[in-house]
Amino acid sequence: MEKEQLENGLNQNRRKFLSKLSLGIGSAALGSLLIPDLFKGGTSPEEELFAQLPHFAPKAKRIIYLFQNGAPSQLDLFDYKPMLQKMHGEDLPESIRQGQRLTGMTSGQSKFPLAGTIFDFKQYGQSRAWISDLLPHTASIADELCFVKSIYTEAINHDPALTFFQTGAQVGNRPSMGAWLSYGLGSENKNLPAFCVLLSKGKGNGQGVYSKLWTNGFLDSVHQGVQFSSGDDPVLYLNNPEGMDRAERRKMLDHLAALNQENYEEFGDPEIAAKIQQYELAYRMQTSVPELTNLKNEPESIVKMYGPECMIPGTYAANCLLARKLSEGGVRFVQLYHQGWDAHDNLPGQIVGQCKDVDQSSAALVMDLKQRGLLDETLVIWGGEFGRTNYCQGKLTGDNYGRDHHPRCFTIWMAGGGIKPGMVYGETDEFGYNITENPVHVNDFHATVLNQMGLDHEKLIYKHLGRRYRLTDVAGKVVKGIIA
Amino acid sequence: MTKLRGLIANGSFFICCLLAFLLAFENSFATPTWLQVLGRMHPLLLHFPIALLVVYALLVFVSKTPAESPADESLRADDLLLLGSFTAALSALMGLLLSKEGGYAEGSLTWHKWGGALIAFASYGWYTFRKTCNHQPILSKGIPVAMVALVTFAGHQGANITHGENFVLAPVMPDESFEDVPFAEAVIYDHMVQPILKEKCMGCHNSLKAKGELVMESPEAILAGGKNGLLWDSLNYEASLLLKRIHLPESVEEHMPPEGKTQLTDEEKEVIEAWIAGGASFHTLVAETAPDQPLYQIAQAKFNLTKAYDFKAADPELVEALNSNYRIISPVALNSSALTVTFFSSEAFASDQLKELEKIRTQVVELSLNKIPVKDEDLPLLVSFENLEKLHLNFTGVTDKGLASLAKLSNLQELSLSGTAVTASGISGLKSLSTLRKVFIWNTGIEATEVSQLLEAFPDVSFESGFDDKGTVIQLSAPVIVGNDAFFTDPISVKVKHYLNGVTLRYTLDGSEPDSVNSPIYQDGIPLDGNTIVTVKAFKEGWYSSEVVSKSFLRSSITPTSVSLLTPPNPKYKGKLEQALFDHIKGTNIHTDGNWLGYQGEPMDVQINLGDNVPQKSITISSLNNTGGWIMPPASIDIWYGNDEKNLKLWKKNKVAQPSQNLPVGPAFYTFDLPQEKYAVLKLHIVPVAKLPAWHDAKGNPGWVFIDEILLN
Repeated sequence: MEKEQLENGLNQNRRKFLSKLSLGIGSAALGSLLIPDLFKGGTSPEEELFAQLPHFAPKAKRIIYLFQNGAPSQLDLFDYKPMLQKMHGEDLPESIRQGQRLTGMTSGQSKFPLAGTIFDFKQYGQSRAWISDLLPHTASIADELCFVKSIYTEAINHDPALTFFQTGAQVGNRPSMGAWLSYGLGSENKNLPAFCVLLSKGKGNGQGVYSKLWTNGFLDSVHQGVQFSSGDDPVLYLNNPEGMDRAERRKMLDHLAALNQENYEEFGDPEIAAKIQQYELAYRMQTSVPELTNLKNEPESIVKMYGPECMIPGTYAANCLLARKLSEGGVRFVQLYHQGWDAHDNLPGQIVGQCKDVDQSSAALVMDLKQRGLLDETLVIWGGEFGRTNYCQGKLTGDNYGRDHHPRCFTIWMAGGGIKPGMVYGETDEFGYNITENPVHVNDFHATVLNQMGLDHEKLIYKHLGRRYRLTDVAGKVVKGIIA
Repeated sequence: MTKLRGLIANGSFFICCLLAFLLAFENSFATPTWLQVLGRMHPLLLHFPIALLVVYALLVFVSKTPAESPADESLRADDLLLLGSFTAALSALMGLLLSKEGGYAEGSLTWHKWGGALIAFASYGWYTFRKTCNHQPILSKGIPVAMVALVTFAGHQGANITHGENFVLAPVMPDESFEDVPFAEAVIYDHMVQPILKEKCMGCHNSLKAKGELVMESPEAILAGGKNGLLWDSLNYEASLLLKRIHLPESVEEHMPPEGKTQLTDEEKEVIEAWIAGGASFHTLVAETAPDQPLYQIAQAKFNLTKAYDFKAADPELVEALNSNYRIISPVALNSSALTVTFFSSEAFASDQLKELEKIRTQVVELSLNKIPVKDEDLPLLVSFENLEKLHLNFTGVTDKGLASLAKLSNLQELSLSGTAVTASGISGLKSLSTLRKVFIWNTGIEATEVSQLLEAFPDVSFESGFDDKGTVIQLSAPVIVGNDAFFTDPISVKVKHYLNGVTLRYTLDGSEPDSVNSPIYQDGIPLDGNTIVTVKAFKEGWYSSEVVSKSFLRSSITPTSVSLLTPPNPKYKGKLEQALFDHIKGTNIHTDGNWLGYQGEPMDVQINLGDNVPQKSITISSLNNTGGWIMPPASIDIWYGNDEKNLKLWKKNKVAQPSQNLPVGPAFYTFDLPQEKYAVLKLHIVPVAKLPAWHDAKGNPGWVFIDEILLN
């Protein structure tokens, strides 16, 4: 036995070892021919992304997302339910609610009295879309809009819901939609960031908006959203410090870039390369941003279109106007947030002010893009993170009520960017509680938006921590019914 | 061992004879059902003779001639031959039985049958006579090789029957996936229906198998139908046989594809149904169907929406070289040869940059020059951009003269001219552009009547003339009084601004509303030297005047030597204690901002030591109203004065008027005269409301007082 083992050992001489090895390597090499990605043969999806080009010819080149933060009440704006007015004060039938989970704010209520809207609705445009009298300007452009009445989400509180809409996941740290687009398509104008963020606040009950919503997540930091603020410094830390002129800045940046480059060559950390790019972008933005943010040169007719508030920095109207200018200037994704829609109580009082803030300028933005020939290539989205309940939160009176969070159905509208104009998609039941036709999940919404931008949501991926990530994660279907 | 060999050889011989017999009387015999079971095992067994005979041939081929080879080695090869011969004969017999079940088309079957039989006979024959050829290497090696060729041929014919024609070679045949078919060229049948039939139906319904006498390989064959009749009824498509078969539950025997085979997906069923519903045309393009139909939408996701162009892509290096931070050139999409070009930054533009694009003039389909100082002289250059489809010239220096040179752009579909000086007659000159569909002429000065004339002249073109305010008058936004410093020591100049150009700002200093005629017009600043309420209103022709804005400016000309709080404020709202009272910082409307001192229940007692700076005029107390938040005007403010803290005289007791309803949140000021004599100390005794009034939601609870500043003049 021992002798055999010894012989076996002696048999393993170098020649045998090498010839066996060559066989082994040969077979691996042959096998590798079948796995194109293994040694980067052919073009992998990652490589295609590196080109930062649309997968197919895009309908939309840019997006302006008018986020109505806090969740506007679809039942008082778009989803007209006469049944609720008829049954005002009666309890929501359990057959409709079906044990739907509620927020901690109303789960303790012993009754869920239905609250019919106190606002009048009329039908507008070729789609005969119902729109509340609160939004006269929006109503007047109904033929440009596609109302999706059947969008739904799983999240029931603001932060997860908002994060879900922005990043495709309810927990933070995933890249925001704008970051994904920046990653997939790059910047159109090399002198502006691909992803800009504008904030405004209404007088209604507000909810927080945090920078995690425009994060680059695990993508390179160049894809992060850049927040524009309303003061004299629209982009913080962009101006030269006192006593430094542009030439000096250039010189300083050149030296800094040389140092960074040296570091990059040594360590190869892509974040260093990103840093160099960001400094250069900031330098170019020093001239491009003031030109863009100067609203004073807008003609008077534009001011009349957006409403006089558009001249007051920091208002929603001003942000709409700025959004048009940024978009026109080649910013891929302009994200607006308007806070104040979270009307748990005194909804009729709060919603009037909120609508006044956003109605005219939202409509004006769509029409302004149109008259410049930009609406075809710009997708405008208007909507919140979820809807509001058909039953009253707190005390219900004849003309006053509050509404809690409702994730099961709500309405958003989209315009331009290859979305069918003048249509209503999806339907809810007569209580406005459940979807009865064509449900659109947040993932589907994302897939559709990416599709309009010429991106296949299943191909826009990023490998991180050993897993491939997508904006739509493992779900999402393009909503073909709303594509023109 | 020898006995076993003999047994197998005999068995083989027996089956061969049986096979020959049945072949001879093929047309006369019928397979009994119990034999069908045996026949159906043909696909299982047939792999044995293939493997055995091939390995046998291989062994024979690589070994030395049989005569010289060691006995045991050649023996082993012979055993393989024997077993191969036996299984070949058995397989052929089973196959023959199976073929009698019917449903197989002639052609491949005939070849397969005779091929299989030949293998059985030949292998047995060779086993018997192989030794006689031992000394003729050509025969002893050639015949096994020939046998392998025969096995390959017969096997291939068999595979054709089971898996369909060309099963093996299909993956390397020209690509049949239609991913790259442009949407505009996709034919419903060729590109959507036929691939489904091929994948899911033609395995059985091909001209070889023709199950149910149905062949789906050609339009003619499909139209001919099968033994159960035509596949669809063009008058009543819903009752069509084909639809019935694919929609039946899978467990029903008539369901197609049969249970166990790969089923149609929902989308595939939808495609077939929509195709039949639409008349089952073999030539209609998808693009010809209605866009809201499922077929159109499925096709949109399936086919390449990127328009295909005839021209070749530009050299990527050239494109790269032409790209700059201000001139972005990129393909329309991955793998598209078409390019879009966008110019940014008016300052960085020079006409040469446009000229440089001539190198890629064939590929440019979209050119955006919005807000770029392009002039008429630059446009003739674009004539050579023959494939240009979209041209954006908003807010450029283009006039009718430049427009004339665009009349030769024979592919132009969209032209943006908003904010330029073009006229209707200039646009009329573009009649030759038959492909033109959209023209944007907002802000050009083209009148509505001219637009309707243009619409008549260009029936295929939509003219977008954009927003027209139609003389609507709206209200100006309110002006902004700059600065938060409501308190000042030395005279100041107050600035007012408005964000719209050409607005007249009028103001008053007495709290009254400014009027559009008499009130002074704001120029550079409003000089103030005492407590003043600045009220401003904006006016502009063609607009309603703005709402009134006012702001109080309070002077504090005297600074005390020291201040002390005799009663401490509530620990939650202690601000900067006594320092807050003379820091000239106005608290905001938010009482927690750190500038406010809050008192509840206890009065606020403050002692102010004046030294030599004795105020002669007035004292002002700055407080906050937030009645909803229990912050009320003080109940009373008493003022004491004297030469030192021990000798104080009461100067005035002041009761403060209380509101009868909620007040808006905001500042409130209480000003009182001071004695006209010499004194060194002032003391204030400010009493909060003890009980909130009856109208208040929280009536009966103690009210708050918030103070942020005391001003002496």
